[in-house]
Amino acid sequence: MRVSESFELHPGADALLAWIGEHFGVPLAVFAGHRVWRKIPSATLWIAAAGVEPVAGLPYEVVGIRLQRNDASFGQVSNAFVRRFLNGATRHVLDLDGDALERFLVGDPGALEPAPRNGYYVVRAAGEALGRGRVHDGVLHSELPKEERRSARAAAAG
Amino acid sequence: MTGTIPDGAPGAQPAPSDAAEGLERYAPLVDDVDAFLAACERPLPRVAWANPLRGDPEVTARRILARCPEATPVPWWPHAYRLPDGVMPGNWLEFMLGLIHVQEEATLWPAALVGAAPGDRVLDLCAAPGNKTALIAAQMGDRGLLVANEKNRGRLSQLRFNLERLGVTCAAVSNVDGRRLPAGAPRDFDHALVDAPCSCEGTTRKLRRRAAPADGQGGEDTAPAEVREARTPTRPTRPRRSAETTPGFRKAIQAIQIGLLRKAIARVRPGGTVIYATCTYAPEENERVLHAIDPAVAAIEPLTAPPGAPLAPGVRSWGGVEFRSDVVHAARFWPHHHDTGGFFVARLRVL
Ligand SMILES: C[S@@+](CC[C@H](N)C(=O)[O-])C[C@H]1O[C@@H](n2cnc3c(N)ncnc32)[C@H](O)[C@@H]1O
Repeated sequence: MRVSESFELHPGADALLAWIGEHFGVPLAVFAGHRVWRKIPSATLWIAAAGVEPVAGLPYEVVGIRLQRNDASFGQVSNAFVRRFLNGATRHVLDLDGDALERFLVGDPGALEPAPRNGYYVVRAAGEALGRGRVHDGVLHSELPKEERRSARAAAAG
Repeated sequence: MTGTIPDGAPGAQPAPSDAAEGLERYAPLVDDVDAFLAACERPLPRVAWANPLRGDPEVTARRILARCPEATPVPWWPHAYRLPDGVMPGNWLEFMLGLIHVQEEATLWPAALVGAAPGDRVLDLCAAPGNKTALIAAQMGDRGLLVANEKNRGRLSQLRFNLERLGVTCAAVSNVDGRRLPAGAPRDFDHALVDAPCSCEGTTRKLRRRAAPADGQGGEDTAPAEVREARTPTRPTRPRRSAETTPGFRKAIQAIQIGLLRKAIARVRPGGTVIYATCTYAPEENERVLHAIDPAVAAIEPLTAPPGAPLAPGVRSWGGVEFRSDVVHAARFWPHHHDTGGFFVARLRVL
């Protein structure tokens, strides 16, 4: 089924959600009642409530929220997806506070002790998923968009 | 709430000598003209509400109160709090994370009137920047289909930004002129909201952005307009002096409003509801628009006032025209009654 000329149900949705569930340690039930759509031709992936379907005369620009920038990679899930679906992550999750949290929010890389394995992580503070981080050689890189880092700076300033 | 001059509206017309004079045309409709005009000069309070789609709203409500202990609950929307002047919730981490949304209090009500339930199919025909779309999604428990349509491409990014930030997955965004929906399309929605473009006279109390970046870091503030607005302290703007209150504008916008309302009604199943709302006092854009709907097609239903928010009824006649009798069931928010912006809302039941 096509939602419009520009979206189709993603044939690899089950495999992708299974990978995400496994990698971040969340039960697949978290994604129940949702479907994954692929935008054509950009191949961005979107996750939308199961009730989202085509209607006459209203071609969609966007359905639900962005899941990933492309359908090829695994792990580089969007910040919106992290916040909406991965709050309860039990693997590849970093709970931050203090300076490490501050650095993540404003976008400064920070070394972590002990060094986690390389890969994508859910970054959380006070039980709230903040967004996606990437660990490389023991250093956590914030993958929050620039405008959010700016908001975070403003928030930190009070 | 923001409105825009739609395409097809006339160009610059001679402006009224003074916008207050413009508002004084409503003296026959207002119980206390001085209080009304004085209220239009005061800053407009904002409301922060906890997003139930993102975590436990009780917990978020506590976070709002921890940030702003002076915030007071809105009695008619769950976990919504009125914020005092000068509070900048757009700077809060909770805003960035989508745990809260911020808007003007009166604009909560049209969304509440939609009465959407999980699994419903709802059409929000004029959706940007998505304040009411977000509230409707919350009512739907993020289940069902919520089509958020917006004609103005430039305003789509604000709509998308808000829906994504708040984690709304039941919405699909479209970008068409609501008047151009195909005739004879299925009546495939349970509810529709027409939050119509209008002359925006009710927003003279609206917020104005500070000239300097709100975070004091210097440089251009690249955040979406919604964030910038929520970061900005409240203060009243001068009432607008523009082409938007001229008879020519009113006539053009009225035709657009009628077109949008008719199209929305045509897409809703019999027994479903259509909410028509504007942020203007002008009967030409409110009761007159409802009057253009055939009473055999949709009935205007009586509304129950939200607790503590007095409503004034729709007006029966204006400018020598007598309107269909059920326009009195529509409701007007006057700024001096409940310290809100000006607002008009009606609920139509499709027959
Ligand atoms: C009052 S604002 C909507 C506010 C929005 N519902 C909210 O709560 O955030 C009206 C919107 O209608 C859009 N609009 C104007 N003409 C339209 C049309 N013909 N079809 C669809 N949208 C239109 C405007 O660009 C504007 O964004």
